[in-house]
Amino acid sequence: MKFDVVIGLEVHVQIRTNTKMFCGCSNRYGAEPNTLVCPVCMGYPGVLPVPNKEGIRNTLLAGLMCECKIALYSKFDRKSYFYPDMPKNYQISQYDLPFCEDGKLVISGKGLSQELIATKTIGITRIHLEEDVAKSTHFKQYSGIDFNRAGVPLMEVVSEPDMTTPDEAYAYLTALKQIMQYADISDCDMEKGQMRCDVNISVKPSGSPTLNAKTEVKNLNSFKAIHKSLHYEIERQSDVLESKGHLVQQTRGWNDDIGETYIMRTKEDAADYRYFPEPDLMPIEISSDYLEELKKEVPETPGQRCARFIQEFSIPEYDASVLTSDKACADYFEQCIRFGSNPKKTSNWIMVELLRELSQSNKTFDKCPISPKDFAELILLITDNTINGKIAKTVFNDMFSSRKSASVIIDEKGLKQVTDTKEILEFVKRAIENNPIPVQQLKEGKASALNFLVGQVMKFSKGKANPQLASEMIKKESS
Amino acid sequence: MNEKSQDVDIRHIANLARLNLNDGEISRYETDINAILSYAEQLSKVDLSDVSPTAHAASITNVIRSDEERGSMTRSELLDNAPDVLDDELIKVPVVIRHGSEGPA
Amino acid sequence: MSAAQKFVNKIDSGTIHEASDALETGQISSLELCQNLIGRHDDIDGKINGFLSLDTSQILEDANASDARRKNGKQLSRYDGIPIAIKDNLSVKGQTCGCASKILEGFISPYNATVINNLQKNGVICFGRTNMDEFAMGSTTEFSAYKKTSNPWDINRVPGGSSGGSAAVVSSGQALAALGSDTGGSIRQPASFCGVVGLKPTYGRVSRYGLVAFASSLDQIGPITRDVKDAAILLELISGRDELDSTSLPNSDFNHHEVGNDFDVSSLRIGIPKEFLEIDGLSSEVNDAFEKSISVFRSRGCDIVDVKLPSIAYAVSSYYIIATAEASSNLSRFDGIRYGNRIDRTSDLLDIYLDTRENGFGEEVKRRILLGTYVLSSGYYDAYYLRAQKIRTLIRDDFNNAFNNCDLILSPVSPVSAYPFGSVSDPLQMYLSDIYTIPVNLVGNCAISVPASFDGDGMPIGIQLIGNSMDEIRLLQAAHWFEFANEMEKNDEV
Repeated sequence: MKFDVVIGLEVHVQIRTNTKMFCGCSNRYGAEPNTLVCPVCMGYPGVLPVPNKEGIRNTLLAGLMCECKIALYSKFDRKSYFYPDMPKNYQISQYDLPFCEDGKLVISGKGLSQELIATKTIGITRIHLEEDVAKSTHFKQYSGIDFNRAGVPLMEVVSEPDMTTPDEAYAYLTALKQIMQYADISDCDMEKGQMRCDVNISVKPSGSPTLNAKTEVKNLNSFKAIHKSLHYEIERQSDVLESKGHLVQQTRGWNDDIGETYIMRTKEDAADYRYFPEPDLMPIEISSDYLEELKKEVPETPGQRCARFIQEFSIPEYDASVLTSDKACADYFEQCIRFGSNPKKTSNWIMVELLRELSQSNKTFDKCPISPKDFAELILLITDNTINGKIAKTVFNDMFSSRKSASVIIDEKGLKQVTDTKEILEFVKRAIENNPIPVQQLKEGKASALNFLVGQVMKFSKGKANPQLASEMIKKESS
Repeated sequence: MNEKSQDVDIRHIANLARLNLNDGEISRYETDINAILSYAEQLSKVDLSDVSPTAHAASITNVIRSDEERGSMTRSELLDNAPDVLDDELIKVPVVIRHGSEGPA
Repeated sequence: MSAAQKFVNKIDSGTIHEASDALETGQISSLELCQNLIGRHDDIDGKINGFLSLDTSQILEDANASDARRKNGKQLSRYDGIPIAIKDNLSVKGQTCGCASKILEGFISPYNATVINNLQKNGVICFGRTNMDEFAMGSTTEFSAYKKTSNPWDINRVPGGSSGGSAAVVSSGQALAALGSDTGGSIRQPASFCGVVGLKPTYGRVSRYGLVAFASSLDQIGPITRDVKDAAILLELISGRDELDSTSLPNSDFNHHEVGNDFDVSSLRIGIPKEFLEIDGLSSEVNDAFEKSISVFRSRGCDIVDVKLPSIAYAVSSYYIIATAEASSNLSRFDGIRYGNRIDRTSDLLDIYLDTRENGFGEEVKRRILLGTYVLSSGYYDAYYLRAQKIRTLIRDDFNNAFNNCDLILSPVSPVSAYPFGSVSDPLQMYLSDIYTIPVNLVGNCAISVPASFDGDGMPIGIQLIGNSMDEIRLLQAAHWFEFANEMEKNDEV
């Protein structure tokens, strides 16, 4: 039997602000437990929330980035359920009037499986703003709660069930993460809980008009886990259907250790959240003036930037898409160009050398040991033949580990390319004298012999000779 | 008493509200709440189709604050009020695994 | 007789403005003032039970500090050293804030309510925590988890509620004034029952930050005082826009001097809603007091006009749906996890919730939580909560229309005067008796209860003046005038 798969994602993204959503406590990761708390975010008797302007602004910005309709009139609601990580036992969220609705996100590129996926538009149902809950640490007999995270502004992005493969889900998450990073809304570091995802998936026999009951999978804390859980669920649900079983709506968890989902609850014991308008908070009206102002602040989307790179810097589409897939990388590239380095060469060197070194040393661009200015200098030194490509690689590695600039390293180690024809002539003569057979072959027109002789010259010059010059002189001297 | 108010399932409601009730309380609250709800049935007789709801006693909008720190309380202030504490750092509760991801349901 | 002695002799009827004058002229010190009130408390509160706690050493320390400031010419305001009693649902840093509930036993608040900050900025001393219906849910103060407060006019009767403790301590001379909170009449009704003045300010005029919420969209803090002038003074001290309360209104500062004596009552149009006179259970004595009050206004040239509030018939239903819905949510935070009393028998989380809340909450609080949870629960929201909110719109429209035709509305406060303990046991009956006060909370207007008359048993009866939103000046001017005119009338009768 063949099956159709329907996937929708609910993604929570923490918004990077100075303070929490409804109180003046610092919004910061990694502080000592229970030190970023106050009566308001602890739900003490008598306290009241006041919304953080930046939380709202960033949500609207995310909406504009995803081409959502922005609600001119919006409000907050209370969502009630008892849980010890939620200080008030209700969460301030948005129910029927979210800030953003009806947007879209274009996905393309490769999925986690490295297979290319077709360009596709995924609908965004809504983006709403709420407050995060505390962090629980579970021990055998008890749990401990750290409330530093309680009240941090949190955006929930709900997609339409437009995805059909785990790779598409992966590409959607990648695109969403890019957007958040581009708009400076969030770092989306899943390990720090800044981005969290629940998936909805249902499977039906190919062509069948009726959708089967969906399964929601929670507890997914990496893109890989999401990808794997979707594969697992497709298989599990297909098996049920193949064995003439019946799918029921349920919520499942993901056990990353064994790579399986497990049942948490079925529809029968679904929660009753008793949403109602938050009486402590006044409605939010977005004026058209404010919206126009905000639209001016909307940064380029990754797609727009990619197109601009192709146009403005005449680099291949592949280069542009690699560079723009990470905002920090694209920023780095543009800064290098501003220091005058050649776009195509810069792009090559970033993609081949820098990205590899960063990934090997587990660093991100904000921790990159080479500044864009120094990187641009390296490229300039290559373009003006001060050093050749081979030496440049040594210099680059040195720059990466010592943080010194290229010119300093070249000076210290005397790596400057030899372009003095007299000096090179010495090496050329030696090469011809020592290698009569290749010289003979060269005369007979064998190209590889020339390469060999140039290599000899490079060896004698400790790599510093200008290879083009050497090659010309060999041809001249041997004829 | 009409149909709607007879629906009141006090046990279910008490569970939602996390209230333990004994049988006596259940029947007493059932009686009280049914009486109140049947009085409130008067609302169903009013034509409210063209009326918008009012959630607030004041009609102001956009009350927001700038994103500036106001300071926090000390951990000891927090833990002094806590019924049970772990390692002088965390608030202690019986072990619970959230029905859902680490985060809002 | 010394000047100080002179004031002390009338301390059980003294006011903030008199005490402030006496402090400013040196007739009395804050220490003497507080000592005398504490003495009065020691003498009679065993019978009244108006206070839940009174930290005398802290009060005397504060009084000494105030006297020292005044001695050095550094008094924070003319009210420096004035003691004010505080309802047990207002947060004072370092004090318990129990809302007369067992669930908050042992809780020490780490912060000040904005009203407390405002009072302390002016040197006002927090004078004890007054008894109340648990979480302000009730009309008699019988639902306190700790004690029953008696009506000072007859200790076998209720003082009203939920701010019954505040009204009783002011009425019995244990405090010059008190702060209460009013969600559906909880300041005005006990003021009426105890023969004192109770003001519910416009919603948003006084910050709710630090008031333990019962129903957030209805709650408002206000003064309970011995006269209208004191109500105006206290309103001045506690009002103003607060950035910690999103529902706080701009331009909500109040200046009591604007409630002057040069008020021309004859230009006033007083609206009388006939619906209010058709209420079941309106006692003839309250009705008489109301009619008499109308005639006081009429005899001084006021226009008395009929106004219509047709949707008032649905006010009680709407109110009890909205108030309990909000309460069920507001009170869900009391769970024994982060603060307060935790009951842990089985080391099971669900049991902690169930047991803590079962033992921590009293009967009326549970009833309202259940009702509120029900009306918000899946499948019932539209039938109850949404309809109640729409009725709220109709009632607001009614009041807006009424205020197009009049300046103030006059009405009874409660259909009855103070009754003996235990006489109202049916919850619905109790709720229905709030009919005169709750529409004001639904709409958010200001209203005041002023002593008007007495019933056959000598129990006080107040009348209510209702003002338009933010129209406290006119409201207090008229109340101030009525207070005076009514006194004259009584003297005339004698």
